[in-house]
Formats: sequence, C-alpha cells, structure tokens
Amino acid sequence: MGEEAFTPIVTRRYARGLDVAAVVVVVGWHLGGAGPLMLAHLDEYRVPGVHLAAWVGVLAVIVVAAIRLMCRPAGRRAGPVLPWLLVGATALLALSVARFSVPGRFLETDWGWGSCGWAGVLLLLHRPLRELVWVLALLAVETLAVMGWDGSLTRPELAGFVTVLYASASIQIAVAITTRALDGPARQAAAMAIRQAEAAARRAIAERLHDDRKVRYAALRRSLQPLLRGLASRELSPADPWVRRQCAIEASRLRRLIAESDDVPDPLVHELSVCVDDAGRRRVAASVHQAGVIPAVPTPARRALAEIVIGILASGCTHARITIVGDEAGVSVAVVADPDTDVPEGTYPGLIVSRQRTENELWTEARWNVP
Amino acid sequence: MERAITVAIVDDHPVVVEGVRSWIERDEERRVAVIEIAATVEDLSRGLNADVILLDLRLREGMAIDLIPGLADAGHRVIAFSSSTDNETIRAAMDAGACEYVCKDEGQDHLIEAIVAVASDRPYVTPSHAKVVLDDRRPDRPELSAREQQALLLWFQGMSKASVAARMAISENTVRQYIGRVRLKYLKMGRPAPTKTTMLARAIQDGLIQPSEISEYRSFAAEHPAP
Repeated sequence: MGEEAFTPIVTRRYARGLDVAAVVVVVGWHLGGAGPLMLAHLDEYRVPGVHLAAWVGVLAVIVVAAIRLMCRPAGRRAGPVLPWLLVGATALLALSVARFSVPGRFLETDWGWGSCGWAGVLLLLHRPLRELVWVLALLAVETLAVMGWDGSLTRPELAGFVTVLYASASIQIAVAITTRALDGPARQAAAMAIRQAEAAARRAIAERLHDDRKVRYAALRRSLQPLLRGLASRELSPADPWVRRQCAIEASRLRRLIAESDDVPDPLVHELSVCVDDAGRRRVAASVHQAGVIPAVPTPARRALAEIVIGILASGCTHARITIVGDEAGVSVAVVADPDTDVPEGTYPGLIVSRQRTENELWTEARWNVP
Repeated sequence: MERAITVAIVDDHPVVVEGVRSWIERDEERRVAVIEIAATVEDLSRGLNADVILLDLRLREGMAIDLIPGLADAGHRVIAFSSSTDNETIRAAMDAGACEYVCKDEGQDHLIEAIVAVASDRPYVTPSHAKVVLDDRRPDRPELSAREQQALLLWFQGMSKASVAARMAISENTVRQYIGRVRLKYLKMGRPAPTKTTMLARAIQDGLIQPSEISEYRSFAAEHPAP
C-alpha cells in the first residue's frame, strides 16, 4: 500500500484525537460549569422551565456537533448547512436564556452565553476561524442587547461584561486555534511515520530477497563449483558426454534461477519456458503446452518440478513436449521425450513422479498437490 | 493399393505449402495425394472434389474461419490448419464445422493421420484440440467418462497411442475408441453439418458407439440426414 492510501488513515487518527479533546472541553464546561450555575440560581429565575429546557437544548446541540465531528469523513471539510442551522438555534437559546435571567445580575446568572459559545466552537471547529469570531460576536451583542433592554447596563455591569467577554472568547478562540495548529504537524508526523515504516518494509524485503538469493546461489555453487573447477584444472573434459550433460543442467538451472525472481503471473510456466528456451539453444526441439488453471505452486515445489524437466532435457533428446495441466487439486507437469541416455531417477519430496519408458519414448509425469 | 486420399490445400504462404507437401511425401505408404493448391477458396476447381480440404486459417485476406460453414454445408470435409494454439480459435473452427484442427507445430506428427481419419469420416483429435477439450468449462459441455478423460490427458501430454495403451493397461484400439468417443460427444457442440452426421453414422457402423448411447445425437442425425 502506498503513502496515499495510508496517510488518511493515520492523520485521521491524529485529527480524531484533537476533536475528542475539543468535545471533552465543551461537554465538561456545559455539565460542570453551566449546569451547576443554572441549578444554583434556578429558584431566582423568572421562568425556571425556560432555563431547564434551554440547557437540555444546548446539550442536544453539543451532542449532535460531537457526533458530527466523530463521523466526519477523513480530510473532508464539514459542510456549512447543518452547523449554521444549529448555530442559529443556539443563538436563539442564548437569547432566551439571557432574556429570562435575573435582571441586574446577568453576568452572575446567565449561563447561556458561555455554553452557546462553546457549542459554536464545536460546530465550527473545521470551518474558517472568522465564522466562529462572528458567532461569538453575535452572542455578545445579544447579551448586550438584553442587558440594555432590561435597563441593567450600568457602568460596573458593562465593565464586567467586557471582562467576561474577553476571558471566555479568548479561551474559546484559543481552543479553536490550537486544534487547527496541531492538525498540520499531526499530518506531517503521520506522513513521516508512514515513510519510516515504508522504508523499513522496503529494507526488510530487500534483505529477504538478498537472503533468498544467497540460499539459491549457495545451492547452485554446490554443484556448479566442482564442475567449473574440474574444467579449469582439465580434470574434466568437455568431450565427455557426462560433463556436457552436467554443463547443460547447470546452465538451465542458472537460467531458471534468474527467471525465479521475475514478477510474472504464472511463474511455473515461465520457469519451464526458460528451461525449454535453453534446451532450444542445444538444438532440442522442445515446446511447452498448458491446459487448465494452474494453482500457485510454492518455490521449492516449482524448483523440484523444473529439476525433473531440466534433467530430461539434458539427456540427449532431440525433441521434448512439456505439458502443464492444472486443476483445483494441483498441477501435473509431464515430459514426453526421446533421451538417448538414462535419466537419473532422483527423489523429489512433495512430488508424485511416474515414469514409463517405451521403445523410443520416455514419459515422465510429476504431480504436485495443493496441501 | 487403395486409391490415395485426395487433398486440396488452401494456403497462400508458399513456405507452408512446401512444408505440408514434404510431410505428405514423407509418408512411406503414400496414403495422401495433393490434387490442388489454391490461394483462396474461390480459386478451388478440381480441389472441390478432394476428399479433404486443408484450409489455412490465416489467409492474407483475413481469418478463414468464416469460410468453414459454407464448405461444411456443401459436404466438404475441412481440416483447419493454423499456427494458432489459442482455445478460442480452435473452438471457433470446430464449432464452425471443421472436421479437425491441426496446429502447424504438430503437423509433422498428426497431419497425415488426421487427413486419413477425416477422409474416412472417422474422428481424430490432435493434441492441440485435446487441450481445448481439457480446458472446456462451458456449462453445456459434453460429459466425459474418467477413462476418456485420462486417455485424452495422456494424449495431450504427447504420448503415442501405444504408450497411452501401455500406461492405461488397455489395447491401442481401446485408446483410439476413448479418444474417438470424445470427438463424437463434441459433435453436438457448434452448428450442425452434413460431415458431422456422416461421422456419427460411421461411428455407429464401426461399433465405436452404440445407437442406444447416443439418444441426443440420434435426433441430430434424424434432422440432418447424410447426403
């Protein structure tokens, strides 16, 4: 999976953390701050029912806003319609709370102004910051208007109003800014973590491939090295049919080994085709034919199947027909050829090998079954 | 000696024609004689009386599969001949009414035998055709018996009929029967043709299948009587 696929998942988790923090702050204020404040003055309010209903209404808005935040699609900005509808409702609730608070003691008894501001923070968390500023300003103007309407806008009340406005709005805007400010670094951190994980995965794959290759070359060296050494020291003669046959086998093994790491849809067919190409260079008229759907054959079994084919193709054939027939249970590789020497019957763990020799034809079938 | 089987070759590649000629000439029994070589089906004259028409599917004018139904309807035994081994081409040629399909790679080993069998309205299945049958996953495909399937698989793998017989511990004639029966079962696939009806009639005559076995072919034969 690429960075593009991973990034949203991880950054979403970071962003989700910031959203949860904002929800905790807002719910905490409404339950722990506004709630007790309202209950403490309940018997002083002109119509207590309005306050209870408004408190529940603001709680409902906060809950809806929190759910929206949690279900927000990754990387998508929230749409404007629902938040603004809820902002409108909140502003009306704030107005009614202010209207029915204790005249002359607004700053002491009006819990709605602060709670509705916090609800606005939550509703507009992923909207442009200026929208929140407008809403907080609207709530302040509402409160100020009600205070003026009730005739309680005395100089000390006005001074208190400015102090409360400054304190609450700065905290609310600070929360909104912090969430935004942390969002960018969170994305960067997530992207970096992904890049590091990918680099580690690439390194692990490269190491694994290198190890596999070392194992394969080690296996090859066991048989190839003595042959090359013998030829170099003239202990082995290229005129010897056995030496020629061993050289042909090693050449095919080498070619198949190179083909083993090729990324092809049907590795078994590909590897056997490579062996056949190699035999073609030695003037063996060989062909590969395939029928049925070939299952995924693990590398050791593929190697063993190829070994059988390589052994036959290097036995002085003039022609060979190789067929690969796949079914649900496994795959059968058969070779019909005319070798002029005996083909050694090796042991191939995991394969069922059948042979039949008639006068001028050797049929060999190796079957691998899906475990 | 019996009269040689006559063949008309429709092919516009001189090298291929030469190759086919050399395979025919190499047959020690001289069972087959080429009576005409034409570049297109329209150019055939004497060749229209040949026992078998060998039709190269890749003529310069395009794929010749579309010419098979016309030839088959006129009662000509057509062997489709092509370098292609893909299932679709082989199936299309057989469904169009060809008596057999021979891939150029297997011509040396199978062309003469296929011509001899087809000329006497007997079934022949080349290994490339066997592969198409083994690969057949169509829901309406004929059902093969386990022994027929095994014989066909070994034949596809490239064994001679004698080797298949030895492997299955049966006679070579039984191997021929198993493989022939596969071909007969496939007669119902594709479009009807008089050549198919005669092949079926010959199979009953030869005892390759019993009339009781072939209820689904009997109606086919009744609808399309031999010419």
